[in-house]
Amino acid sequence: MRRLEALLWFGLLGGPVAWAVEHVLGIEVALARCNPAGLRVSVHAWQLTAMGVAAAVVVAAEAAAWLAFSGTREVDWEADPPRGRIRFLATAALALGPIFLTLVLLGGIGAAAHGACSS
Amino acid sequence: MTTVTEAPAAGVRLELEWREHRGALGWLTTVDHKRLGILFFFTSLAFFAAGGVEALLLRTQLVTANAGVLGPKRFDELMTMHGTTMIFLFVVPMGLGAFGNYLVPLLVGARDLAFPRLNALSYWIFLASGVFVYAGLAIGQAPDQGWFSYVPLAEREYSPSYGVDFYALGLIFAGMSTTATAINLVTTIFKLRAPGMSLNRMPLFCYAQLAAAGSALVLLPPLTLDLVLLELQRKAGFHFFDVAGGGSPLLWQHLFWLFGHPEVYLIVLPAFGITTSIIPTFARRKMIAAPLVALAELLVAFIGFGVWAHHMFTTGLPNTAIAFFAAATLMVVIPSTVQIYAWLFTVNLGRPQFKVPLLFVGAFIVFFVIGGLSGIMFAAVPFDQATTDTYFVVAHFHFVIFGAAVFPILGGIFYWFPKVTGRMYHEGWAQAAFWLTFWGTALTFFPMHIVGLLGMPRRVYTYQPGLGWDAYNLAETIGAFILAGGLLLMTANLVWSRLRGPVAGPNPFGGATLEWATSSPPPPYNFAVIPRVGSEYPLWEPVAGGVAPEGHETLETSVRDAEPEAVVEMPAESAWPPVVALLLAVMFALALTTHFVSAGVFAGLAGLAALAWLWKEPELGASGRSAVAVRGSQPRGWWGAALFVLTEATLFGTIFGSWFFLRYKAREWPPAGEPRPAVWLPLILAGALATTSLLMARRSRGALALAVPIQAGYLGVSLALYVHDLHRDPPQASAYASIRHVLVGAGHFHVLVGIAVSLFLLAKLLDGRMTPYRAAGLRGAALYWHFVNVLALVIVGVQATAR
Repeated sequence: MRRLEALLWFGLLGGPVAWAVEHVLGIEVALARCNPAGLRVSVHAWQLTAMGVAAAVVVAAEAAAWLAFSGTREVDWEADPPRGRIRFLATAALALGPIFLTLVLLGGIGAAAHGACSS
Repeated sequence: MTTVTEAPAAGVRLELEWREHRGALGWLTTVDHKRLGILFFFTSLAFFAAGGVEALLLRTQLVTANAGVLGPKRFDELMTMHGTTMIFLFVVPMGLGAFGNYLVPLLVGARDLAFPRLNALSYWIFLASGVFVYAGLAIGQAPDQGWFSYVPLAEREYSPSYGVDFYALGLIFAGMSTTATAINLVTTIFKLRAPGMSLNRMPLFCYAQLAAAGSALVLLPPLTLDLVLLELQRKAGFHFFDVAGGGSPLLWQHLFWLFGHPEVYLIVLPAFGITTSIIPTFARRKMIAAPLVALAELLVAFIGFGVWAHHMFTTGLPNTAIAFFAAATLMVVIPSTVQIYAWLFTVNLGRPQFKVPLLFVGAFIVFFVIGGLSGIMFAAVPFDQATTDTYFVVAHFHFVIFGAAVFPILGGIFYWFPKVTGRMYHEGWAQAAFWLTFWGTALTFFPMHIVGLLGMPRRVYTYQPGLGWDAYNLAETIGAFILAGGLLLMTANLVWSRLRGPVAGPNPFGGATLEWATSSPPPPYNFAVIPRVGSEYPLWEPVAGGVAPEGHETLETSVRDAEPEAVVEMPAESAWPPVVALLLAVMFALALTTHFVSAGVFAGLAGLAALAWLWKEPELGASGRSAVAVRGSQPRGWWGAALFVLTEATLFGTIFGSWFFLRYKAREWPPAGEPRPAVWLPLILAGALATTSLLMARRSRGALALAVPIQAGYLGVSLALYVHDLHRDPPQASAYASIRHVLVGAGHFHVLVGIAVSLFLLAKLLDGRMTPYRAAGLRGAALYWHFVNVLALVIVGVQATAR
């Protein structure tokens, strides 16, 4: 049960956290590079690296969600906890992967497709 | 505590235990979530009426070209008051304060919210803050800079009256109310659910309230910080937003929209919750795809935090940053769409009865789709840039805020009217009012799309004839009056029904959630027997028994699976909450008139009043006489403290963000001629302070007595350094000095608050009022100190980047 719980919570939280980190740091790096302080970092290299790491975490989280989902295949999501609750949340977690993978890729590729400090 | 099978005829005893004073005194001292919900309802309704009258005056001025109903200054004031009122004083307190307050405990099977007196305080603060904001209008000092108060217009040079100060201080004050309500709602949903109501059986209404309240905790600190910085700049000569002083006006916009965009989702999420309650009842079937709907409600709130700068696409942000906001703007639509499909399919697959609540929900879906589609258009950066500050934007957000947030609220008023009043409304008149409101809304706001695309800018008090805008503006004004007529008809129906309507039973619509399991209106204790839940729709399933706490008590359960943990005593009515709110109101009034010393005195008095109140508060742990079981999970007091720490962490996160934003804008940091901050001595001091975490974690009287002198010593030495810095590099010197003093000063203030809490707890322990191992207050204080100690180290680390 502990394994299922661990898979479930990674499946639920991994994607959102990966996207949030990529999103906030991506914006911060762009602002730091493209203002008078002029942080000396390659914006494109940063964005692509962050995108790759975040995408990997999202995919891993989706796999964890799938394992939690298939590990509770014998119960309905309205069944008694903890298995019913795990089934319910794992069903929700399965939907997170495509959403956050798209978010991570759209943000990263979109940022890398523009000139570093064009506006 | 007894189980349901042996529950005594406990109604009379519970009635005596939970009874409050009658009459005006009872309303003043009440802590009953239902009475406070009603107070929130009528107060926010009064502000809705005020905001509505303001809107009608604005529309009357715009009915024809060159109309002379309002002059430009009065127009600007009413426009600012309209936006401020509708957002801060109507929709949010209606969704969380009225609906959340009244319904969440009933839906989760609790007898009250987790912190009833805090709930009362949040109402009285809300009322006082609303009166505070409107006092400006009453004395001819209304804000006139627009509801998002952009700088430099809001700076003292361009807005010298007290109007901006009424706005800024009033909203900081109102934010305290929303934060308290949010902490209460989240803790209640986590800890007071009926046994068996595991996360997979929690009503979707509660998921929506959880998402809204949770996001409120994170979105309000950026606004609070923004307003504090504005007041420091206006009243004390600090520099945050003026370029000449090294600041940036974009800092205001970033902080404001970091609050402002998620605020839109905070506004619509309670409406989502109302919708997911009404549809199953009137479609006569369970919501389809419930896990995805629950997820979607949380996701809307979460992704909404990544969208803020789509309000700033015309400010010259680098495209590498804009790409992230455009992506989030596109993808935030997905969870909303999931819900729309789930609602439509549930109705389609059920046996719908198109009564008035379902009609309002249907209209909501229509308006939400229209407002959502125009919202997606703003993800296309060129389109956004072309339509920024036109009436197209006004049309978009009114479809979202009025169509999508207010329509479900109106439906919810009809849906729960029988539960709250015990009477049925008149269906025929209600349907007539619905159609007037629906067509009024469409006629008011739809033409704004067209007139916006024709180039009419927002916020103009008049326009010239012959631009092709006249007919659309005439239609909008006619629509606004039709809409007002619909709302008046609705009000008349409800007033008449309250007095003369037929008596409603406990469950007139055949609803499935727990609020329909008790009488209409519910008794003060809600449930004599707290039901054991075996389904998300417990009234449509066989009853599974329950538990019956005997006194002024409710049941605390575990967060994930709602397993019973303890029967907890609940606080009774109290006069302290309105007293604390009144003292805070005086403090804000004195701060407005720059009597800062007197304001500090009243802040101190408010603090003392709060301590006096807490001195007699029942323990925030288990009731000694009827504990069921304690499984080692944290009690609700700890959760309250943890959520408070979350808001504080967000506040400091925004201060750090502001530091780095201003740092990026500067070629030299600190500017030439200003000293670098000391690092080593503050680092040693912060290290010493961190050792108190070990003591606080022991949660014993002796450890607490040992920690307090170390904490006080840290504060004493740090304050001496701070005063030295004030002379060496005053905050008025530059944006760097301003933000550094805010950062360090806020850290010291939190240490001071922590010491006050430690001393209070120590006094309580010495008085024997609280056992160290059961006292949730001590656990909460320890958590707070862990946070403050980490914060002290991070503050030193952030300052170390200034070189």
